[in-house]
Amino acid sequence: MLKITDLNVAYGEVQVLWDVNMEIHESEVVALIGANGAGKSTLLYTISGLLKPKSGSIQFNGTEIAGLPADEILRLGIGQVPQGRHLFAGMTVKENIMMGAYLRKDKQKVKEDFDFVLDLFPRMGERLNQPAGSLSGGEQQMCAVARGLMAAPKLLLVDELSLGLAPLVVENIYNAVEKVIQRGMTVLIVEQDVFLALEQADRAYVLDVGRIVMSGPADELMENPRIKEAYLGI
Amino acid sequence: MESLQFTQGIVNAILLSGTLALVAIGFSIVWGILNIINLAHGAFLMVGAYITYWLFTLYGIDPFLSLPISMAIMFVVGYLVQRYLINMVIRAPLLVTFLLTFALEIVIINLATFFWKGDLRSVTPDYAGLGFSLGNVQVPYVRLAAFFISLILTGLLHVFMTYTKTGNAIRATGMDIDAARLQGVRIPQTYALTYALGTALAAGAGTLISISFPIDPTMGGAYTLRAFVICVLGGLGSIPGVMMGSVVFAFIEVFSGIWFPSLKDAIALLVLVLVLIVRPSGIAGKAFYH
Repeated sequence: MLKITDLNVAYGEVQVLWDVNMEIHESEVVALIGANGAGKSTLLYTISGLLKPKSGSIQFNGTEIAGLPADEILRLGIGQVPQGRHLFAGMTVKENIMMGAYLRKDKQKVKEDFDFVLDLFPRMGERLNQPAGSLSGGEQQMCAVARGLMAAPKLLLVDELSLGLAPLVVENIYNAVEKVIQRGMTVLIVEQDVFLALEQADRAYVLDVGRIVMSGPADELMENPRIKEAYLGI
Repeated sequence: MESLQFTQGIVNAILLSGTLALVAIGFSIVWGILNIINLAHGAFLMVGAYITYWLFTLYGIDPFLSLPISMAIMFVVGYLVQRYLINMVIRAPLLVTFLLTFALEIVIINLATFFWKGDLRSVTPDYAGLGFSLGNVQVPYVRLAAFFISLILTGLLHVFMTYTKTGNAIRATGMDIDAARLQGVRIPQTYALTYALGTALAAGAGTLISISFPIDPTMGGAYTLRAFVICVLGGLGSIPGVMMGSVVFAFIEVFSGIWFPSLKDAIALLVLVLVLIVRPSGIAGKAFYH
C-alpha cells in the first residue's frame, strides 16, 4: 500500500532522515518507534505532504506522492492525526470534527462517519458546541482522532497519541483505535511508549537518529534484547 | 452642551459606527487570518468609491445598485493582488508584507490621482439630501440606509465564516495553518479568498461612504487608520469585537469632533495609545479569529 524508498529529508541544511525504506501493506498496523528527535514526526509530515523530501520515493497504491501538495495526498487516502493534536482551538468540537471531512462530497457517508466517531468517543457528543480549546488534554486527543477519522482515510497516520495523558485516558483512546483497526483501516502508529506501540502493531520499524536501524514483527521486536534495553527499560 | 447637539451626536455616532464596522471587519479578517496589516485597505475603499462615482456619473447607475458591482470588481482585484503579489512574500516577516501593502497603497493613490485628478467629487442622486426628523434630530435617508447595509454585510460575513465549509476553512487556516493543510485546505487559495473578501468589504464601504461624503484619491488613509484602531480596540479577529470597537470609536470620534474639532484625528491616535497601554488585548480580549 505504502512503499518508501531511499527517502532523504532535510530542514534547510540539516538533514533529518537518511535513506529511509519502509513498507506498509493493506490492513496492516505498523509501529514506528524511536527516541525523541529521531525523525518520526518528520517522516509522517513528509508522507502527508507538509514537508518535501530532498530525494527518494514514496509510493501509495502505485502512485508517486513524494512532493505532492497535502490536499492531493489526503484525497488519495492518507490521513494524519498530528502530534500535539493541533486542534482549531477557537472552533467548536463539532466544527473541528467536521473539518476532517473538508474534502469529502459524499454527505450521507459523512453523516454515518460522524455518528460512528461519536459512538467511538461518546464524550465528544456531550461537548459538540464547546470550543475545542476548552477541552481537557484527553478530550482534545479524542477530538483530534475523531477529526482524523472523518477524512475516511485508507491509511491513517497517528502521532504520539499517548503524550502527556493519564494511563486510563490513553487506554480509552487506544481502545477506540483498536475498533478502527478491526474495521480494516491500515494504521501507522508513532508512539514514544514503545510497549504500547508494539502491543498494537503487527510489525514495527525502529528509527534512530534519522535512520531505520531495525524492523520486524512486533512480537519479535518486543523480545529483542536491544529493544528491551533501549526502549522498554527492562 | 445643548441637549440637541448631544442627541444629534448620538445619532451621528450610531450611523458612523455601521460604516466603520464594515471598514474594520475586512481589515480585521486579513490581519487575523493572513497576519498582514493591510495598509492598502483604505486605497481599495477609495477605488470602490470611485467605481460607484463613475457608474453614477457616466451611466446614471444608482449608487446603491452599484454596491454589488463595486464589491465584485474589487473582490477579483483583491484575489489577484494576494495570489500573485502578496503571496510571493507571505512567508516573509510581518514588516515585509507591511511595507508591500504600504507601497501598494501609494501606487493605487498615485494612479487614482493621475487618472481622476485630486478634486473632491460627490455622488449626488436625487434623494441625496432627503431625510427625516426625530424631534429636532436630523436623520439623512442615505446614511440610515448605509448603516443598515453595513450591518447586513457584516452579518452575512459572520454567517459565511461560521456556517459554510469555506468559511470554516478560512478560520481554521487562521488558527493552525499546518492542521488546516492536513485537512486538505489549500492555503494559497484560502489566503487569496480571504484577502478578496477583505478587499470587497472595503470597496462596499467605499461605495456607501461615497453616497454620504465627498470623495478624493487620498480619502482612504484615514479609514485605514480607523480600522487599525478599531481592531486594536475590539481585539483582533472577532466580529463582535470589531462591532463593539466600532461603536466605541464612533462615539469618541463624533464627540471629540463636537468638543475639540481641531483635535479629531489626534484623539483617534490617543485612544490607540491608551488602549495599547491599558489593555493590549482589546475590549473583547480575544486573541484570535472566532
